[in-house]
Amino acid sequence: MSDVTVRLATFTAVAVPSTGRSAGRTAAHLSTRLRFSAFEAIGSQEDRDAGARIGGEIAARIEHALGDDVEGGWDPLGAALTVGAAAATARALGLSPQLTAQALSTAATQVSGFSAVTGTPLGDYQERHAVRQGVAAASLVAAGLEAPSNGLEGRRGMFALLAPTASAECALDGLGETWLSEGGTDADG
Amino acid sequence: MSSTSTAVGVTTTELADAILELAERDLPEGARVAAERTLFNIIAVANGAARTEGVQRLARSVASLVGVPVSPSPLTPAIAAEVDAALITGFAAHYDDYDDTHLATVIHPAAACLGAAWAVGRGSAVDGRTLLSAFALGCEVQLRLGNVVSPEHYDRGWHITGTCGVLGATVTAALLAGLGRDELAAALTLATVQTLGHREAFGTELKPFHAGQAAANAVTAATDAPDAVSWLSDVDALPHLLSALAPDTADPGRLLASWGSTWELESNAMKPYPCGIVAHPGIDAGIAVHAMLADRGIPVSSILEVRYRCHPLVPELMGRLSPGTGLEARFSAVHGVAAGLIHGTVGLHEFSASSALDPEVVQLRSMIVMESDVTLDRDQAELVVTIDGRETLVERVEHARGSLARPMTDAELVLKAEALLAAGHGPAASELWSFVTNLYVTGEDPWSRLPTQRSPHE
Repeated sequence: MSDVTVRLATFTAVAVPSTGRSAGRTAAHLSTRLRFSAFEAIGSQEDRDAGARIGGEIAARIEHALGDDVEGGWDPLGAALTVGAAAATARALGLSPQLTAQALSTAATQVSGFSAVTGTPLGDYQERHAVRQGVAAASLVAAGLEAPSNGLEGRRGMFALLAPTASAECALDGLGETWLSEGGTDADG
Repeated sequence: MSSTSTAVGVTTTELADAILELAERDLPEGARVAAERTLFNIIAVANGAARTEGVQRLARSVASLVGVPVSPSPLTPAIAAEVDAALITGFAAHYDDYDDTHLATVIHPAAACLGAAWAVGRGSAVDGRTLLSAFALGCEVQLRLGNVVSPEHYDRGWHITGTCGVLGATVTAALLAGLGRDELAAALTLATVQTLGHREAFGTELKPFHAGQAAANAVTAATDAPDAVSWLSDVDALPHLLSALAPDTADPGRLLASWGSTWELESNAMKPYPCGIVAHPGIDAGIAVHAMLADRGIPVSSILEVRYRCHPLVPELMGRLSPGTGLEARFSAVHGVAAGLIHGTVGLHEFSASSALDPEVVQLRSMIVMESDVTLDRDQAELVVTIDGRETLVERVEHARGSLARPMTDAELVLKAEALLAAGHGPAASELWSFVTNLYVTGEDPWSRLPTQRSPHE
């Protein structure tokens, strides 16, 4: 399987944020959640704006790749928010691609929550937790926590556990050319 | 909170009721002894791990001006918020993979519960009995949850110490915080959406992070619970959790089966070696062969080949053939065997980075061939060692040291702890043993009575 985590991490670290259409549902959701998290204390406003934009794209791609294949009732939006928040924070912190891959992996291993409670107060709690842990994941890696670099596509990684029939590589569809996180795209529903 | 039982399961409220009912009672002797051994072992292990750059680095990153001691070791002198102290202590407790294992589920229950207990179990409202009971019940709930979802959950790739650890540590934190029934149920519900742990983390610091973050999430759940009671009415997330952890085979009836009369904690095994437990019989065999070679005056360098017959889980879980770090070595069964053959003893040093890269160890590792044998139990192994083409030595281990059939004795635990506490500049093992075994009758704020720790400068 191709190195999905590393490639998403490289994109996270170096991509120029799109200035296209407004953010789609998932990206907007992440952006709102980030504003009420520890992310607001990271870097400059410019760093955070770029981070939120990139993080939103990563979140949209994770959700796109998971599709309808999540088993066990886990929440795909929660997964997208956790990994997206880690990407946003890694970008805002200026982490290298290598460290960003570890940050995404540290976030991926913490994906939790149930789709059945989406839209309820418990669902709100689990989304706040998702973003909080994603932000913390990148911060911990920045502080030196050592993690694997394949937490998304690894044999016992996020996709294998949440959606074994899904293709993690779908998260790379048009990476760098198409922004799935922009409003009105198919991936954004 | 919903109070209607599911057809085959347990509601969160019923679980909370059961926990509180048992918390009111004295621990039965067997459970109390098991809790004391488990707690003694994990405090020593956490102490020892504080010697590592990984633990110290993470501790420095969370240091704050106000809070609680970040871990039991004087090598991490920082103060941190409770949630961060839980993270560091749980992280340290699982860092060396030297803690404990519940063999039926392969959960390492003590690390997360120690993290929660260390962070929250302070002040005049907590006495020694409450501390030990909260620790014991946290481990017990964790193990029983593991029974419900095993073996599917681990086989799917989840790190069960992290996923189930959150719930167990939440029990510990909630009891120490003095939460009542509805608040405890709320804490458990909040914990169900904070699970973590994928096995892809094995061989990296992310594995012990799972135990530490489980403790941290538990502290968060217990802290948020009182305010959450009102908006969690009619929510029972426990069935969602069980379905998510093991969608095909979850058996909810096992959660409270024989509750109070049977304690899974009594089946919790202490590790004699700092690595995955399935490799322990092979290490035992390697140590035995080392002794045979020494008796006959045969140098280890005479070994030409080692055939290592083992349970199929060994190559599955411990299949790294060329580890480059101490953490990677903990997932290398052949490294453990090589270390046993060469050194005749296996502890922290034999699983260090320097040992992983030692040319003598590297060469001998390359001569070891693992052969899966489905007829072997998990605590069995056999080494067939060919010497210079002339002689073959065979060592078969029927029950590994530390297994249920051959548990570590109290004396062996104290010996293990002595080395760990020395490494972590902690108290003498005998002092820690006395502290833990008298905990049940210790007064308020028991952690303040933890034996004096040696200064790093002494």
